[in-house]
Amino acid sequence: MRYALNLAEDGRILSATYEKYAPADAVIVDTLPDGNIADYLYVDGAYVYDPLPEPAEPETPEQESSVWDELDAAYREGVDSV
Amino acid sequence: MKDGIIKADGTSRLARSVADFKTKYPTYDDFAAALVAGTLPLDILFNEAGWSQLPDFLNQANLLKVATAALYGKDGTAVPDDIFARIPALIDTKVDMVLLWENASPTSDFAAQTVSVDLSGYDIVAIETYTPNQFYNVGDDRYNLNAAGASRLHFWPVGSPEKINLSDFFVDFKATYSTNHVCWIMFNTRRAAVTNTGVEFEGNSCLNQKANNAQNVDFFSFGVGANGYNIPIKIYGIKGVSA
Repeated sequence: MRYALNLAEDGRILSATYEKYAPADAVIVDTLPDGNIADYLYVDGAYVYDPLPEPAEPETPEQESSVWDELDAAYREGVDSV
Repeated sequence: MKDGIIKADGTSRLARSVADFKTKYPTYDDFAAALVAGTLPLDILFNEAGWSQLPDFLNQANLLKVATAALYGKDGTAVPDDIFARIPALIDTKVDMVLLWENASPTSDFAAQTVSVDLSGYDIVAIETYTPNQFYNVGDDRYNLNAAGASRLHFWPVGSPEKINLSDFFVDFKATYSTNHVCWIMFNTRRAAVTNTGVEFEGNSCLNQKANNAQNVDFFSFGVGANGYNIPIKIYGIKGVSA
């Protein structure tokens, strides 16, 4: 089974489909990289492992008392919601 | 359709012949000979006064209106049989849904990109998206967002000036593992424009909220570019065809 690569301008693999769905100008390959193919570039007929940096984890907003704290307290006290 | 009812008093119809009837048929034998030969001129007239209920007449307005014929692509000369002849083709009309593209690596991140697909000749595009299963550790407990790990199918007109919004939404609540109570909500959205030549996908935006009250841990993540979720895995073209 062969595959067609959809590449960004820098060679980054955006996605892959099967050869039978390939557009006329697609790059056809025999195998795909293992794992997340978006971590690879396709340069001069070879795969280059070049993972994108992980997105930064958003900071947790600081709260003196969260709704979950209040719900937890109510749950532990056995207070029913109405 | 209303049937006619005559009064049965001999007045439902009247007969009329030519003005020189007596000249052409001066004797009973002449009249009888013309009648037998089929040459006797005669009008049979409808006499409303002889009917207790008037019928619906077999005219164009009652059998096949011009406007109705136009719905079938026919003009005012059409007869009901012309419409009956169209019915089998209408019954045999079916919808073709053709797989035009399939993601060969459906668990890989899917960034903004254009997928080239020939959608000319199709009326509707169907895009299947997939969000992989999600896990979350709280202390010694491991939670699974059970609702994820599922695919969804979205439909959109080809060539629409508006973008399709490929969204999924998962929610789970667990309060049964040790002392932990977890509410987990995930909402993904990825927009795309659909043209005759392909689908222009944007990156995925994700609201991922996991709250654990037992450990007083609340955290939210909201990311544009969370491309490991809501991944397009199949594109179909849909059109109506006649057998």
